[in-house]
Amino acid sequence: MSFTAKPVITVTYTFRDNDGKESTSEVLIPGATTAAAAVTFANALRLLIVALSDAVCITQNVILGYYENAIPTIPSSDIENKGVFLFNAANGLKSSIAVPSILEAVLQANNQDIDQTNSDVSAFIDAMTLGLSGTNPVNASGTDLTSMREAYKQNRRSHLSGRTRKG
Amino acid sequence: MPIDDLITSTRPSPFTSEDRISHTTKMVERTFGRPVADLGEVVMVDGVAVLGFKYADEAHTLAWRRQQNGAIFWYLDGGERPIVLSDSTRALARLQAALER
Repeated sequence: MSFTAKPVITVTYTFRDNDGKESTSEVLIPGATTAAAAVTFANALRLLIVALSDAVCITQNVILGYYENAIPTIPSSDIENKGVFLFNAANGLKSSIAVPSILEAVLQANNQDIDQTNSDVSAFIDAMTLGLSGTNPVNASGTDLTSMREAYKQNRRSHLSGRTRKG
Repeated sequence: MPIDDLITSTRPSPFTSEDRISHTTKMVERTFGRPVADLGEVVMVDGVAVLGFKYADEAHTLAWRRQQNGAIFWYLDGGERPIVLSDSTRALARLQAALER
């Protein structure tokens, strides 16, 4: 059981037409390609694809995927019970991440607020607001996340993997 | 040793000493609104990254800890009395008040 790099890197381009409808094109390149080379390729190929379309290319993504190569027996859990972490960014805006099936052990006595003195919670918050391996997470505008605003449990509906909710 | 501490002590931290020094440096700079070099130097003391500085010719240390609700409290010279320095315009004055208590 380990996280393994996918054998391919996925490049996607999303186009929007004048009715507001969007469609995505996908190209695969070898997984051994460096991240920098993959971005260079994606930038160059975008120009070639854009030349073939009347629609407007609105986003490009280069995805270096990893996957669990041997999913173990999954313990009792519920991904609809999210641990919501809401951060402040240096530009005054907010950014959040929801951790599925948050452990009850990290909740405060009210069973809702997350205990930020818990060592695992604290390590996660430190990584998000102060950096990990030399990288500091940012919000959508590219500004460093700098502090916690709130951390609490919230129930949010999700979809079932591989089948419908009726399944 | 409480079992929580025992479990924590047997699990490796995801952070190196360099990470911890970087974290405390950022925390000091965000709190005081100025480069850490203006105040002192961040050093590791007993596995904790602290700000080492001099005030009235005496050496001091300042450490931070996150509270249950996420608030950051600071602790002077390894003490347990929390100091709140959250507003960078007043942080130095609050630190001075704590030093002179």
